[in-house]
Amino acid sequence: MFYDEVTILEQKELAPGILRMELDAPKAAREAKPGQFVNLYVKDPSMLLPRPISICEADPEKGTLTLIYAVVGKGTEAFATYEAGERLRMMGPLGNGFPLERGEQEEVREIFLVGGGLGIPPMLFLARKLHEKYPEKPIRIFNGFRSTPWIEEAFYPYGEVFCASDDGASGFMGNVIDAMEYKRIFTDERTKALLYACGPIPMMKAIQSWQAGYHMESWFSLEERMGCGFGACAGCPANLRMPDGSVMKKGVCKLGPVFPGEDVIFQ
Amino acid sequence: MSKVNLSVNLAGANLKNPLVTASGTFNPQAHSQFYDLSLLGGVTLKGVADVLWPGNPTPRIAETYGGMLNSVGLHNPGVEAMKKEDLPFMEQFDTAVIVNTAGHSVEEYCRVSEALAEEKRVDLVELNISCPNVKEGGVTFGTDPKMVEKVVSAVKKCTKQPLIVKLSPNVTDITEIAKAAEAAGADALSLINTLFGMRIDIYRRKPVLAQKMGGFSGPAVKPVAVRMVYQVHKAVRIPILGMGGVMTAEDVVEFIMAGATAVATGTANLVDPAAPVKILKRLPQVLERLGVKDINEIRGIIE
Repeated sequence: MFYDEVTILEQKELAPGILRMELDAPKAAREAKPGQFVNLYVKDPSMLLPRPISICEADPEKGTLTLIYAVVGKGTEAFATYEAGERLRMMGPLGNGFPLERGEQEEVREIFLVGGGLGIPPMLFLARKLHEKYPEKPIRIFNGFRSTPWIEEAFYPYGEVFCASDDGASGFMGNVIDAMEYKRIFTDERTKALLYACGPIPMMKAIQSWQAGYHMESWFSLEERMGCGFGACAGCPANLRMPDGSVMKKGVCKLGPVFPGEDVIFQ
Repeated sequence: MSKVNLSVNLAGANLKNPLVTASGTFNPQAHSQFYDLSLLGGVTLKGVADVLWPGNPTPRIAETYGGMLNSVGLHNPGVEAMKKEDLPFMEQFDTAVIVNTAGHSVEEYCRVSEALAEEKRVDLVELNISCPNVKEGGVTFGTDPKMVEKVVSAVKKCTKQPLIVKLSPNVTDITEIAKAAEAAGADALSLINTLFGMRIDIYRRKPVLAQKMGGFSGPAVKPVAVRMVYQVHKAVRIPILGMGGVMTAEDVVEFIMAGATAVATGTANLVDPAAPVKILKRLPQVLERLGVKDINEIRGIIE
């Protein structure tokens, strides 16, 4: 794991309040796996805690990490003011990431990637890696936006992309579940689908109840308000259902953020 | 190598330097990724009860100006799990181990102490009667001098290692509580635990923490901690493990001048996991600049 200052190579606003930051971070870029995140630290010392940001892409050759984040508070507001050439403290990659090896199962003939809002960026890294690993398995990518999509073409090389938006600004009017339900008509009922998802809790809850009717294995990347981000403060537990029916708490930052979808208990 | 002596004695435990980590902000496995734990005078393991405690619902964490709130609620795996995982892990490091203990009752505190009695890797036990995040036990034991005396004298009897009693700042007169703990047999005091705080999300019209209120820590609380260490040092003879917003070597010196024998980093461990070693690297320079050859000579020098 890398923990030091990194240099910002580029910052670009993709949509109002949504920014893409490219960092020169060779060690982290080599180690990063889809679904992992980094801690970014605000330069203003009155804001003590790191902001966990998912890794949107990692390029080990160029030594760069790409992050997409939304301005949601004072910390991310500060990030948005940082310019190319500026340095900031970063820790990562953190967390366990998505289990790509689940795609090896022979009965898995198609892979669903479901992203909602700021849960979409980590899906890009995942889509590329899955496509490289299983070029023969179709990947269906469902991205849900509030309104106009701010990332779409980047996914095209890796699979079939479906956009859904609450207001119908692009693609399906409705949510990703509606889009998946529509798409399901074309899938073969005898196969098992593998689904990876990252997004807001209502979306994850909806996927959980939707998938119950299908032969599907899911992996959810969870978001939780974190303290340290590296497994020291016990601030970010997820509730998980164990095989014996008991509930176990596991830290999202260290043992997650990815957990088996069926096991997650949403509050 | 610096000629400044940094070693201190905390209630019979020889620490190679006064830097310790504070309970609940340190995880041996997580922090050892960032530095060699043997560099520290000691570490305090997270508050542990006789059985697993599930802790509070999330969100458990909120940031504040120069500080943070937490309502973890002493989420812990129980003393037996800690004995199996953390204590063996600490074998590889040459540093004092303090175990922070939690309970809802005197009996529960005693069960933890008894479970630790034969553990050679435990140098000191820190009795947590000051956690603001649990309804029974915790701070309810730590805010009434009579109760403090009752709990401390009972737990002292069932604890084999020297006993540190961790005090809450959420009291009218901390010297009263400190004196009660000393009279009941405490070998040392640690202070301060977190202040009790709250933050409201004005857009959602709701408290940020699921528990509404939580423990307030970080550099914003340091002046309160320094004041309380100073007052307690004047009121008791037992040594003090000072803590509350320590971020720098200068902060460590400030606590020692106020009367602390050893000093713990808490929130700093979460903000910058390498904070204690960065502080340690600078501490001799700060002391040399002050003309101090032995850190023990400045303890409690403030009149």
